[in-house]
Amino acid sequence: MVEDDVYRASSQYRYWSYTKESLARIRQNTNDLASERVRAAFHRAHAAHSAQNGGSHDGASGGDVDAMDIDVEVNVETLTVAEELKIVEWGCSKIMAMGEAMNPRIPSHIVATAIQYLRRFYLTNSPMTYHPKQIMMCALYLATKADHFYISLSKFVAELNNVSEDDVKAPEFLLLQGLRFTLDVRHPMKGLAGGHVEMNVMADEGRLGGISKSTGSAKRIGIAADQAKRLLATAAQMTDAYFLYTPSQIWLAAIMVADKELVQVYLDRKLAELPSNETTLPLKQKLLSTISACASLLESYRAPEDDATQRKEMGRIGKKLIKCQNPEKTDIVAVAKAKVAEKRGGEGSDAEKALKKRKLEKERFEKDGDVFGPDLRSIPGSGTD
Amino acid sequence: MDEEDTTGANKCPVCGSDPRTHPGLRFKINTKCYHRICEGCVDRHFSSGKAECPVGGCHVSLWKREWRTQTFEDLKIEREIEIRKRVNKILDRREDEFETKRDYDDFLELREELIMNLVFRTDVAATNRKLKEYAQANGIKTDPTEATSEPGVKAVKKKDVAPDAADPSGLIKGLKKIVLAKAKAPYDPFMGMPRTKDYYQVDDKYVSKVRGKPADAMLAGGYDFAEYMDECLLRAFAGLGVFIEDEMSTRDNTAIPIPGAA
Repeated sequence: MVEDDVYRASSQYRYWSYTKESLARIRQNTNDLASERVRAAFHRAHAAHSAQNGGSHDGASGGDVDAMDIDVEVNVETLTVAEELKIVEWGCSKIMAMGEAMNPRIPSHIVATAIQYLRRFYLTNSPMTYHPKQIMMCALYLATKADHFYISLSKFVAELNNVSEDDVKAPEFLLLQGLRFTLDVRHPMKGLAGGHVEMNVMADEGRLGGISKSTGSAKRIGIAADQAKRLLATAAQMTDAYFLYTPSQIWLAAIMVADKELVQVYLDRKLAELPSNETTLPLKQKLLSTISACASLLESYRAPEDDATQRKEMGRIGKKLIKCQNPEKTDIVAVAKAKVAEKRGGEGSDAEKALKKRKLEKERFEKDGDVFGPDLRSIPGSGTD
Repeated sequence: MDEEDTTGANKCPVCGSDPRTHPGLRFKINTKCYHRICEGCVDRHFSSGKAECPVGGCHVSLWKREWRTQTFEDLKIEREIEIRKRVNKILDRREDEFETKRDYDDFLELREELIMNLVFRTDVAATNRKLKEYAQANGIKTDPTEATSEPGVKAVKKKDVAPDAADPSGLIKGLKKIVLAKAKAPYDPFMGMPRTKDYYQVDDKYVSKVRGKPADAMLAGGYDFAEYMDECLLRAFAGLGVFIEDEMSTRDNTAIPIPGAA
């Protein structure tokens, strides 16, 4: 199909589509790597600390942890994959809240883009390395820029509490790196709008079987579409739907959650009208099973505010994260600055360099004598006396 | 053409004027009968349109514009040059149009033969007929006045001749075949990208449906509802038949670069 090839050309398909297994594998890898690094960082911090305090603990510097010592810090307990995911989801819900609180209110599809940025970023980065609260503002700001809803940085910062411009700017390159520099996110929202119109037209023409104009089709389709829209703004963002399914499957699944019969009749009709008829039957089977799998994924989502146990769980993970946060990456502004400085070759700023150069020159002149050469009298053979 | 007129006394055969008696007398000739008369006689006889040659016994009818000043002293040469000019204009082929050198030489010989036929008045009718046929078959205008008088003749083409034959009249042999340039396909700015979609077709009904509740951006000048609808429907169906579970399991995309991992 022509449309499928259009989707296959997108970066979302090429870089950000995974099977369930590969998704789990990537997250496990990321988690392992980050845990290792957190431990190494604590080791280093501890070694530096003990060196300052007299350097009596030779065990810590060697990496061999002494159980008798105060090495609770070194034997740090890291987050599991599931806990990491919870933290990321918390970040996503924060982005959503931020978008709603902004003035002007940020449209839901831009918030959705920001959420997907965050989710993609945390596939290869761990919350233990960079806490979502550091990244999420930048993700939202980047999404407004990428999706044509530009707000100036000062205005953006003014809408948020206790956030400086540097906090938003600093992780930008890091985030882009994590996104592999692909800013395009294919959302199912626009597809839903198109599908809604098409369903309405088909119902008006009586092509949707039992769902026709006489039986109040417009209302039924409208209700289903509204519910689907809400689902797409919440459940689709908070689950892995974007990684596992294509946008057109997601919006159909969202309608399926709202009105199963409607989707079935609609797809029946749609596939019957396809130009090539020989492959439609297996295609239909597969499509229906895929969509219902996606629908059950969407249905399984519950908003975290719903019950107290989830909130409690979040509190526990938050506390745990405070303990196992990578100490070298907590100040993201400093991390970004260090990276920039590293890029410049470890030297200081330009002004410093210029100053150094001038100083060197001055020294040389002082050694040689005057800028305009030595005194005339001291030139041999030219003096009168 | 009479020998006496050109070689004899240098005087006008019509009025008998002589350069000795009339200083500054100029003669004119024509390329049909090659009679040579003085300028004054041309003016006198031909100022009122077409007339017969005033030389006694000659009944060639001429226009005034057909009289011109003589280029060569010898009228025989004048005539031969004129014939050569005319035949060369019709039988105008370059060497690279022939298959072999030999064919080109044959053509040159044929042309020379035709010219000499005309010069020495042997087989004049047959030669002229050949030239005329050739000119007509190849669409060469021999005489501007002639072509306008009978426009239908030129358009007639022989049906039994192959369309790629270089000479439809068959007079000249050994010409290379005309290679007809293949008709170019019209330029496709989409470079083969299909412009019709499989899953949907944007209908006017969709457009009128969506027009009901336009957002602010849709009210801007140049906003096209059909395009909006097309975009929405493309998004709705792009990737409907893409099953990531199947397609990604064959590809190993877990080996993604982890930033800062190195």
